[in-house]
Amino acid sequence: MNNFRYFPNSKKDIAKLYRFLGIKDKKELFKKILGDIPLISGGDLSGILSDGIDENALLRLFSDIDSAVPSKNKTAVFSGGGIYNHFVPSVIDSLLSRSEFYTPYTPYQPEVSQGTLFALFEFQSFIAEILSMDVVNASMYDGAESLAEAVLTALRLSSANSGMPANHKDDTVLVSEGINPSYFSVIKTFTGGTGVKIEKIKLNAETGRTEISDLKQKLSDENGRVPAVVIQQPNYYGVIEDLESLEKIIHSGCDSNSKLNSDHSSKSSLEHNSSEHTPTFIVSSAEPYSFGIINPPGFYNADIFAGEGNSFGNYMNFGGPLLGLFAAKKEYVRQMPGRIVGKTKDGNNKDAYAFILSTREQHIRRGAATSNICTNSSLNAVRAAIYLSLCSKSGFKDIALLNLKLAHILRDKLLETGLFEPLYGGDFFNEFSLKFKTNVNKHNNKTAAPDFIEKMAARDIIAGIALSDNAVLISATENISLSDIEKYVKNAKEVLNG
Amino acid sequence: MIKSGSFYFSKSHEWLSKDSNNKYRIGISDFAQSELGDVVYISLPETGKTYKKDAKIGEIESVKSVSEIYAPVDLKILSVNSKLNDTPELINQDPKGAGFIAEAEISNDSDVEGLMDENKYKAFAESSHHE
Amino acid sequence: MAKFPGIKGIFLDENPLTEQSSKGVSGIGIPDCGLKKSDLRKDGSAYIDSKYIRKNPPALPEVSEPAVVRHFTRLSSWNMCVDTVFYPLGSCTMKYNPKINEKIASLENIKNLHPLTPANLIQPVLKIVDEFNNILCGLTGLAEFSFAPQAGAAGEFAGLKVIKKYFELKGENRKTILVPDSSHGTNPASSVLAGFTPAEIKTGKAGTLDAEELKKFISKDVAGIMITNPNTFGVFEKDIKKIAEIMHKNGSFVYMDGANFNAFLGNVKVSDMGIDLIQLNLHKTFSTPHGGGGPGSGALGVVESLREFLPVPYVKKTAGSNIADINAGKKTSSVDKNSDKKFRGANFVYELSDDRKNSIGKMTPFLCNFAVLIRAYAYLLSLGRDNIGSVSEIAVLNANYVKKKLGKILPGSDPFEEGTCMHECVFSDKSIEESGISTVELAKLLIDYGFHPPTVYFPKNIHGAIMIEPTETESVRTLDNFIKAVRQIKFKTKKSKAVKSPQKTKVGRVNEVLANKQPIFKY
Repeated sequence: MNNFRYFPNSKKDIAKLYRFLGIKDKKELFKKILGDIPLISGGDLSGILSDGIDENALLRLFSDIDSAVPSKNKTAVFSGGGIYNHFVPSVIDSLLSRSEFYTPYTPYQPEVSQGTLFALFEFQSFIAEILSMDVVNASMYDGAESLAEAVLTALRLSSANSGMPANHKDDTVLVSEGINPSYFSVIKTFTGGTGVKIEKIKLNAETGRTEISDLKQKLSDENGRVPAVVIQQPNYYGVIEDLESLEKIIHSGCDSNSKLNSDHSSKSSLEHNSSEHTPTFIVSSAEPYSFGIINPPGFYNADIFAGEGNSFGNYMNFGGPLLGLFAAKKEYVRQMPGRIVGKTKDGNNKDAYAFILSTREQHIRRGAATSNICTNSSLNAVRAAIYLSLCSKSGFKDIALLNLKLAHILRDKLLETGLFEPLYGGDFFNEFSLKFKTNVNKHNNKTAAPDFIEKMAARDIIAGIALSDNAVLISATENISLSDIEKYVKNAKEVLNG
Repeated sequence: MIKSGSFYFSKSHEWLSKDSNNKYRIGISDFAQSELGDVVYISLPETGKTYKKDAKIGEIESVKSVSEIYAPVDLKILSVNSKLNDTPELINQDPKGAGFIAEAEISNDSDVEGLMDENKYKAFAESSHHE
Repeated sequence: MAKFPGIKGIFLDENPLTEQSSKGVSGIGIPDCGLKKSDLRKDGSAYIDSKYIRKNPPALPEVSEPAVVRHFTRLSSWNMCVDTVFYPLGSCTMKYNPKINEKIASLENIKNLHPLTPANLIQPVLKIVDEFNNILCGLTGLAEFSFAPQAGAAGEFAGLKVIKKYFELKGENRKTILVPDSSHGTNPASSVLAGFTPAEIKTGKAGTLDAEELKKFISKDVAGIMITNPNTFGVFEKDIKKIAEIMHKNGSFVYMDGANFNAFLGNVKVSDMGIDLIQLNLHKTFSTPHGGGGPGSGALGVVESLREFLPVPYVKKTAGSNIADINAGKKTSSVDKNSDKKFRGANFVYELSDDRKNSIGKMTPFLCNFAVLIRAYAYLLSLGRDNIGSVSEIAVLNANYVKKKLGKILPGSDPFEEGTCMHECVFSDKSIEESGISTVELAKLLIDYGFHPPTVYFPKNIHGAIMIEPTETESVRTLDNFIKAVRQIKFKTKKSKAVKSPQKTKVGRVNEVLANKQPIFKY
């Protein structure tokens, strides 16, 4: 019998190794190391794992699975909700098939990792440009985790504490209700150890934008401090937030300790300019493609940006891996989580790249690190760097604009059917929320939204995400054509009238 | 009796030295800087703040390590060597001179007497190298 | 005589893309998506309030598709990788990444699948997650795995949160997690993030944790211990069962950092050592590529009593013939693997469920890093029951071969000379220092011989540590070649050459001091 194809040592080599070590066989080897801990016998795995299969059979198995899920070519995907159906140019797969990109470890030895380091430096540069922020790190896991780490960063900034935040029982982080509910849940998971309270700011029922009066109210209501305010742009319901107005209030820091009425307090705190109690303004986004057409977080003086970058050159991959983006103002760089690539020189004064400010990280500062993150989404970041290199200045804007148009055309056509009405009236980018008109709901005994989505799916249309029994979140990207939109509208009519 | 101009060392490798105005300077030893390697960043103590003996007053970073700076005795920081913000390499080049970290007020000279003198520290540093 | 791979070949220089830009050049085709000319002509303010509209679009480089391809192809040639060199990076398990797994993960429909596609359309995909879980449970002896953690550190964090939640529910406020001083930095960092205080235990002379030493740390404040096994010296924790006993008697948990699980794969179940929780790094032991830093997956496995705390959502398996039945409340008995037999022959329906009252919550927006998981699953199916036991066997043999052979070249440098290591071995700089060569110089010199350096200066408690993990996918021939390179370096290298190495790479020794003193974060 031949050896298994991934093992280069022949049976003879293995026998030689045993002889060299003076050990008889596998049993003796493990016995020597493990003592009385038993070894797994083949029988232990029966019913759980079958015998190994060859490559051809394996590929057939997975190809069968692939053909049993919705076909990419036949199905039009209108679901978003944190991950978007963008087109991925062939160049990216072609370049990423190079082992030199996908089979190295983290670039701990910069001299033999200049390719990855340079590509990540370009990634940081392009993302910084898109967001208009000073410093971008070399990626986090995903938008939600990145946002949770942004909140932790803000807690550290509020307590001028270099390590991870420990006790924030008197603090409250205000999070807009417009944040993706999954992101909200991940923030809760990550901040649980700090004792900080997480409170929601309401949305305006008409516009779907974060309610400014509620923000003011909550900023002056809090007994303790408010280390951070979190706003998603565009928000989960697709609505573009008025970051300009929000930022003024957040940074004037309706100082939580001075319980004055809001008008007065914003003025006074502007004057005394107490940086200590001004909340960190965190902007998140699940769709930074929007910043090709709308103003970026840096334009509104965001302190930290944390969001999702999967839209740039990455597939949806059934939800992961994703690409966490993290950016901050330069003055906060020493509190940032994650790896950062910097540009420097080599011994011959040639340009070179290396990880910098590593003393923030767990492998050096251990328990006092800014985060526990080690492995990140490096390869997804390289994909994004390649994608954005292809886009060009005008192309990025044009594709963003195309998203905007397609989503508006789809929404207008759906409203024309008389079956839907907008959930919110605020401006949107490539995603919007609709609710069913009451007659539709009555007509149907079942919960309208999940039923609608399931019936549309049977017609090869992934129609969106159910926001409630009665509302749907729908997106349109450049991967959708006008005929897909027409198909959506026609089938929606049939499904809802039928 | 504390002599001005002499250096007194702690076990965590900080030194104190009194000047003619009865103020103290604080820094890290030549041995400490050589163990650290090239200093790239320093987080300085807070001016005007009082620190208890052994309290952390700052941090020194090289590319791949972080060292904490501790107060060798109870002290109050009068001023910091802000040159270190832009030229942290002064700590490597001249740890007992231009690379000092801060100026401090120490109410009890006798606290400083409990520290090691040059000779004692030299022996101590050598033994910790071989550890 | 065997030749070293060395480095010769072609390094082409390459400017940043921003320096190659020409106005109006682009590398992407803009579709019209079938829109009417009148719509195509409109600008953003036709749709949204102009106060939101960005005046200056981001200044991305303006280069063509061929320019981008050449740029990144050149960049790639400046990397060493598993496919080009022996990559004995300790603690990182740089094994071969099977190509078929890349092909499987790139299947057109799977890679384009939206995570919130209705469950009835994606049954086979959910089934993969369930079956992969079953295999991992079989290999570890644990009750269930969560795939929510995106990497090893996230798995540690999730595991510690599970422990935290368990005690919260019991009304106990235990604050301490014990961590050996030789542990990965992620262990104390994850402990702090989960709201615990890590307490460091010194490892004994043999490189292992001593049960008697551990007893000194035991109190009702101790929630658990995080133990890497084999530890970061590659040494098996001999007292592990005693340690687990002591912890369990105290009502505390044993968390195993599974970064080194390649030492056990297919041969040892961690449940037999008394482990309660483990994270498995799919990007190490399970062959998924590390991608130059990520992505990974840190699947978290737990014993039965901790299942209820695992993250949501999870894949719920129910007996029934279709989702609609389940939704309508028919046959909703949920199934776990232990009761599988009862349902043998029955149909199962899979769905994503948040239904776990005591869950620690969500870790990630959707289910998991599916594209990583599917590669790891394919890897296990390729190996199968008949080959899986050879993985750790050969990995351990290879490591011991290197340990013994290098031990002779580097006398006095193996701190655990007498023992048998597991999947990796570690040396101090004692012997090379006598030849005037430091650990970092050895690392950089190896590069010019055509090898990726081992992990260096970790673990911290070994002076100038050199940590070598050969893995099972390297041949004795390669190992011999590597050993020969170390010998040449030790006996034949001049100091003047050592300080200047590497010399054959794209760039010479990188000035990391400058990089940190005057940081440049972007163009």
